[in-house]
Formats: sequence, C-alpha cells, structure tokens
Amino acid sequence: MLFKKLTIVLLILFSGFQSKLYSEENMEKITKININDISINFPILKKLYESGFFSNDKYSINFPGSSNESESPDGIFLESEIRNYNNKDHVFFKLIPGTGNHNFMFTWNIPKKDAEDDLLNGSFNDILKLSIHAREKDINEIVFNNLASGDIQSAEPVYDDPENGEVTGYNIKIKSRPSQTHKFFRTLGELFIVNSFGVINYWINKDENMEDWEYKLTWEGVRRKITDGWSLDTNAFRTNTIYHIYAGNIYFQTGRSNEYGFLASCAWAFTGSLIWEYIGEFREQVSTNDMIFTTMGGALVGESLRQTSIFIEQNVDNKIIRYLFMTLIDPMRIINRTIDKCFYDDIDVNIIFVNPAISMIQQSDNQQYFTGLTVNW
Amino acid sequence: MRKIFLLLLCCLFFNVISEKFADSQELIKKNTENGDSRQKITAVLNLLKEILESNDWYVNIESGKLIAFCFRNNCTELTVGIDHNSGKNIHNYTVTVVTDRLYEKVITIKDEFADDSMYVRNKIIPYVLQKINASCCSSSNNKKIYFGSISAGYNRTHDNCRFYPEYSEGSFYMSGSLAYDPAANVTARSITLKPADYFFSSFSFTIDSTIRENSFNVNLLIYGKNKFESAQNQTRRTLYGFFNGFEYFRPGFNDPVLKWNRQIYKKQPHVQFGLYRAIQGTIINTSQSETGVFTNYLSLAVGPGINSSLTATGITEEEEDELSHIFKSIKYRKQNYYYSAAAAANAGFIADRIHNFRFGADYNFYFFIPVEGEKAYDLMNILKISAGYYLTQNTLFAVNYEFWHIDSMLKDDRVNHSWNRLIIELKYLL
Repeated sequence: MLFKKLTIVLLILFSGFQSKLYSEENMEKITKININDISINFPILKKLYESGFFSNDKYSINFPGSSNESESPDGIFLESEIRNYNNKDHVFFKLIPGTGNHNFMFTWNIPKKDAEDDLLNGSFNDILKLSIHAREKDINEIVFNNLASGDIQSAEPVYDDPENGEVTGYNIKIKSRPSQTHKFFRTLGELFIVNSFGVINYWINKDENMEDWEYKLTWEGVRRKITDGWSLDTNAFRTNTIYHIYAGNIYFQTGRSNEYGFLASCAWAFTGSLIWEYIGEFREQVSTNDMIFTTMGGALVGESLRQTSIFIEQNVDNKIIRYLFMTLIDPMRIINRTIDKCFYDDIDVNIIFVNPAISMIQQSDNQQYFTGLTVNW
Repeated sequence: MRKIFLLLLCCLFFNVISEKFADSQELIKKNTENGDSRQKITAVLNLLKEILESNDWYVNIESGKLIAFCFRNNCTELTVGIDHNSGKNIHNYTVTVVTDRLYEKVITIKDEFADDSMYVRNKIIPYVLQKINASCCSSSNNKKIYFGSISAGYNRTHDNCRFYPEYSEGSFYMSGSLAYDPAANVTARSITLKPADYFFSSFSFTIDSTIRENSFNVNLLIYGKNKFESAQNQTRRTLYGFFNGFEYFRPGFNDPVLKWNRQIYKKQPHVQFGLYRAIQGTIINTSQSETGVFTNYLSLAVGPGINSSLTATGITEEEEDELSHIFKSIKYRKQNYYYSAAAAANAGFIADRIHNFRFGADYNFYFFIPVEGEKAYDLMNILKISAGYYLTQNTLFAVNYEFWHIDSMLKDDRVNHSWNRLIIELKYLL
C-alpha cells in the first residue's frame, strides 16, 4: 500500500518535472542575428557560422549573400571589421541588440591572431547572452545583476561630463574562464596527474614499500581493502608529517588555483588523499593518520603558501626571482594561470548608449544592415 | 454689524482650517514621498550590497548606511549614504561615498521620473561604482595586509637541567613569519570573519651543516570576529574565533652525526612532534597608543598528534623490539613515535615600539596521550622571553632566552628533562 502511494507521488513529481522542462524548452526563443563582416578578406563571423558555432535551435542567422531570408530588422546586428590598433591587426566587433532597447550597443576588439580561438572559448557566447537579455531588460539592470552574480568582473560607468554629466555607457570586463563543469573535471584530472607522480615514486621505491603490502591486485583484494577500513600506519615520522602534508598542500592548491574557496579546496585535498590511499597505494590498508594530516595539514600549509605566493607576487620586483619563488611555493597556481592565459582572455567590452533619436534616424537610414551607425571605437 | 463680524470670523476660521488641511495634505504627501524615497534608497543599497558581496566585499547596512570592507589586495573601507529631499518639481538624492576620501554628489531627479525606482537606481549606482572603482584601482590606496619578517641568528642550546647556560652546542639558523591580516585596517566596531580571512605562519631551520633542526607553525582562522574601538589617542583591536592549526617541530637528530648515541646529544630529549590543532580557540588583543603597541594573546587547542617520547630514547636496536605497542616505527629504527590525542596552550604578550624597544614573553604547553590504550603521556613546557632594540625602523636586534621542560611517562617509568637556549638574532620586518 505504502509502495503504491510512494509510486504515485513519484509519478506526479516526475510528470511535474517533465512538464517544467518541456515548458522551459518551449520558452526558449530563437534569436535572429544579422551578421556582417566588413573586411571581406577576413569573414570571421561567417566562418564562425559555418563552423556551427551558432546552434540552429538557438539562433537564426542572416548574412549578406546567405540563402536565408533577408535582414531581420528585429534581430541582433553583429558586425566585424579588421582595423589597425597599436600597430597590430585587431578585429573590432560591434553588436546592437536590436528590437526594444536599441539605444545602446556593445563594442569590443581582440587581436586578429587570437580572434578565432577567443571567439570560440566562451566569452563571445557571454556577450551574446548579455545582448539577448538586453533585448528584454534595461541595460543598467543587466549590468548591475551581472556584477552581482559575478558574471562580469567590473563595470566602469562612462560619463559625458565627469562632474555633473549623464552616464553614456559602461566599460565592462567579461570573464573568460572555464565553466564550472570544466573546472571540476580539470581539478579532478590534475589530482590524478599529481598522484601519478607519487605512484611513479612509489614504484621506484617498491622494495621499501612492499613491507606494507597487504592486498593483491584481485577482486578479493578490492573487497578486503574496502571492508578492512582504515588504520594507523607505521611509516616514518617524516613521511607522515612532511611528505603527506606536502602532497595535501598540492591537492589543496589544485583546488584553490581552479578558483575554489578555502572549504571547497579542503574537500579537494580530501579527494586527492582518497585517490592516493585507495588507488595510488592500493596494496596497503588506508591510513587514518594520512587521511587527516594530508587533508587538514595540507590545507593549512597550502593556504599559507598560497598567500605567501601572493605576497611575493606583490612585493618582489625582479620578474625571474618572483616567478621562481612563486613556482616553488605554489606551483599549481602558476600552472593553471599559464593554462588560462593560453586559452582564455578577459575581454573589455564597451557598452555605448546612443541617443535614441539619433539611433532611430541612423537605423532608418541604414540600408545595408547597420554600418551607418557611427561609433567612436 | 454683529452678522458681519460673525461672517468674518467664519471666513477666518475656514481659512485657518483649509490652510491646516492643506498643510496636513502637504505633510501626508511629504511623508508618503519620504516613505517612497526611503524604499527606493533601501532598494539601491540592497542591490549595491549584492554587487559588492559577489565581489568579495563584507557588507553591512546599518541605520540606512552601507558599510563595506574589501579584503582583496587593495583593502578598502567603504561607506555609502543616501539622503533624500524634495524641492519644487525635483527630488534631490545626496549620495555620499567615503573610501580613501569623501565624495558627495547631489543627483537631481525630475518629478516625472521620481516614481520610477529603476530610473532612480540607474542614476545612483553608476556614480557609486565609479567611485569604488577609482578608489580600488588606485595603487596609492593599497593598505598593508601582509605582515612578515625574516630573521637570522645564532642559537646556543645548553643541554642540562639548570636554568643558566652550560655545556653548549650551537647553530646558525634562519626563520621567517607571515601574517595575512586584512582586518587590521578595518575600523568598524565589529565584523565577522570567514575562513582564511586571517592566518599566521612561521618557520625556522638551522643553516648549520652538523645540526638540522626545523619547525613550522600555521594558524588559520575558520570563523571569528574582529572588534575595533577607538578613544582619544588609543585604538584597541580584538580578534577572536575558531582557528585550525598545524605545528611541526623536529630537532636535529636525523642527521647521521646527530643520532642518539652521539656523545653530546645522548641526553637531548626526543621531542619531535606534528600536531593538528583541530579545535582551537584564539583571542588576540592589540592596543596602540603613543606609548607603544601592546599585544596579548591566548590560544587553547585540542587535536590529533604524532609525537616522540623520552621513554623511547637511549635504547639499543634489540631493546627497541620490546617497546610498548604504541610506538609505531619499530621497523624504522630510532624514530619511535606514537599517535596521540593532544592538547596545546599558548599565551603571551608583546610590548612593541616603546622608545625603540621591544619586549616579549611567550609560554607554550603541550600534552600528548596515546590513542591506543596505554598508560602514558608526554608533557612539554616552553617559556620564552625576549628583549630587542630597533636599529632602524624595520631592523630589530634581539636577544631571546628559552627554557624547555619535558616530562614523559610510560607505564610506571617516568623521565623528565629540561634544557635552555640563548638566541641572538637580527630580524627584518617586511
């Protein structure tokens, strides 16, 4: 009877959940985007379209010469142009959200050589999302809300007159970072890599470690390892207090350098320790003291060294010495920062408010898409 | 005549009444406006709070004012106040932003937009953001949030039970410390601190080729409060809360020349330990006046430990196998230790910058009992006193004296030992 009732409740809950999903799916609108590459030799937006960047179920794309129907006046206008900036070729982008709130635009630029990679790495998607929201809501509200949620790093208002002027736009910084899921798997992957170095060292010193072996590499061994639980080990004092804490420190720093907070990074130190104890040292019984010291000793030393690394970064002028010490003290921060630098760049985006009256005139004059709209880049 | 007089009186009466009525209407209107504007101000402050909090600021809204602190690199204190008054067809919002200096702006909203809370917000928030950005991005506003030191010195350990030095063996050493303490700049009466908002760490190691001794100590705040009081020329700060800590100490016995059978060290206590202070309460008081800076502190902790004992030293390899089962490293000779439950206490005071002098006293207490049922304990007391003189603003020359006492018990055997140490050091404050 109880089982029957429970099944009914679950069915109701499931159908509710499904209908919610269904309705949310239906609510997602297809956004029309008019794209235009002014520099014919570098049609980056067209290339992006052809690469399938604009998924068909989200966007409907028009561009000059496309087989699609002609320009959608109620869609987003997006334009690219190659210009020389600081003696280097940059791709300048201009985006007008279109219908509703078309009295402002987004402009930004990225070096030509990085353009394709940068566009694909997510920041472009963030700007598109921002502009889609801007079609329905007040742009100020969007800026404030995105600041509050941390999706944009900073927003500097621009005034026409610094003292008593009106706000004419914002300079915002769009975070270009791996997604939360990406960071999770990167952290986990790095923990496995770090532990694999430990495993290599463990097998190099196999003869010494064999003394502690209790389990065979069989299913029976796995079963015994799990059912035997944890116990205090008999390793050397230095191994228990220094080496394990150093390993925990690296696990913790892996979490920290992937932008996790202190407590979440403690959890990563615990995860790293679990990986080591259950996989790295599979043939030994899990050590209670190692789990405690690696996790908490590692976290405390890790946070201390992380702060020391920041202190050095702020106070040591010599670049070589600075990086040398930072790498020694907090290697994971340097590694992940280098990875991020290679693959992700923050993008400075200008949001420019356009006088609505001028905007209307220029829009109506704008025969070929929206190139008639004058912008001071 | 009487009728005219009555008529005039009535007119006067109605005039007064109607004026009163108009006044009250005006008052009601004004009150409603004030209520509305208060709501708008609260909405603006709440949104600002959200924005700042997502950017790692600590924010309180107290009596209509937003007070915030940023613990990132450019530690800044921020106060935002918004006042409202209305004139003829206009509403004036006076926005006061106090960071490193005071900014004030009267933002005028026309009557027709006054009811639009979004419009009001869009006028005020950009101004506040601009001032915060200007203040936070200015490197000249950087406050000191790291307090570090490096020291080099010579210590002479006197391996005997007397208080005064005798039969010595010495070594050169280096040590350092770093405290991350952004709350040191906060002048709010009370703020709550989150994990890792404060930490103190120190380390030391000998740079002598024959004696290898090293130690480190990390204390990190998990949750606590920072209180600040200011009166006349004196400020007083109290930091207290729940901490976590890890301490490691290992005297130089691992080097082959310093094994226990070495003549000079045969009596030196086996005092190595690693201690995780899982539950630690700490209070640090600092008061600053023209006389100097006075600090006192107290810390009590319990947690798991790993430590050696006097009861397992000075024995041969053959005797080692007969040791109690609590001693774990039987197969790693001469590293006997046991897993313990430990209690630790630390108290002390520092009187600093008193006519360029610095005086300090510090007491440490450790108590270890084995976790694997055996009647045993290890107890350690360390008393330290120091006196120093500032040669320059950042260079301190100091002489320290330390007295160590250890008492160990295993079953019915009880051993104790004490020794003292003289230290001369030069410390540079970073």
